[in-house]
Amino acid sequence: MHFDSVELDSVERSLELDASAEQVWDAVCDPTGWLADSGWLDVRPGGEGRLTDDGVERAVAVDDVEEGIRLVYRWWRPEDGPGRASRVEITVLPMGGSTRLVIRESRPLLAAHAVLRWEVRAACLSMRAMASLSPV
Amino acid sequence: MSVDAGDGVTLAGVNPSLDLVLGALAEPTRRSLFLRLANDGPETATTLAEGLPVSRQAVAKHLQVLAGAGLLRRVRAGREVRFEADPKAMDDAVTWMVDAGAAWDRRLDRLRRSL
Repeated sequence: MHFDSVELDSVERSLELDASAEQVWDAVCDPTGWLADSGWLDVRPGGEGRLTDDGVERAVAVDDVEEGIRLVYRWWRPEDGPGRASRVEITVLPMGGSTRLVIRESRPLLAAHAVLRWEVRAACLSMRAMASLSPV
Repeated sequence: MSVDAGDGVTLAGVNPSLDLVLGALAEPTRRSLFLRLANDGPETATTLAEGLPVSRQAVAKHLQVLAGAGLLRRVRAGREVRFEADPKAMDDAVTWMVDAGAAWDRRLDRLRRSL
């Protein structure tokens, strides 16, 4: 598995797609085509939605939409409530012919723990080595 | 006694045990205690307190929080109680990241195919 970013409280993916930024944006805005197996999402600031992916249902709240460029939303499992939401930022970058798509999912809870990340990560590696587990 | 932090690991960043782990490690003294046990192996609260500018009682309290988060195990040897770092909790701590990453890989694969 490849990690673009190795932090405990966020996951980042970046990939180049052989399509125009418009095509990628249109695809991004059709959640059931990729983001989830089923459900709906109102892609506009303040919009809401319900998405089920891989058997996990999530409530969605759209925070920000920059048409053609950026979609920011929070999602959470209804049984846990919005207080436990993770934040997803999807960015579409035209690359002259191709398009770069950047996804970042983070847990706002841990925003104050920037310093801690690295120590936890160091501890993780140290402990994983101790436990002879395969490295992440 | 050790607290099982292995349950409740889910895909969407909803992981109470991870909150406990990171909360426990947010305090600098606890962090250094945990890292010392992880690196140097099991020790008693008394031994741990010797090199620190805090009381044995304060160290014991910190160890209790770390144990509560599943980061440490208490190992009894005769009259002595030693604390041992538990790799499982850290493993759980990376689970959210690994699971969320895998979910995005799957979604991005679908997106790529839809274009």
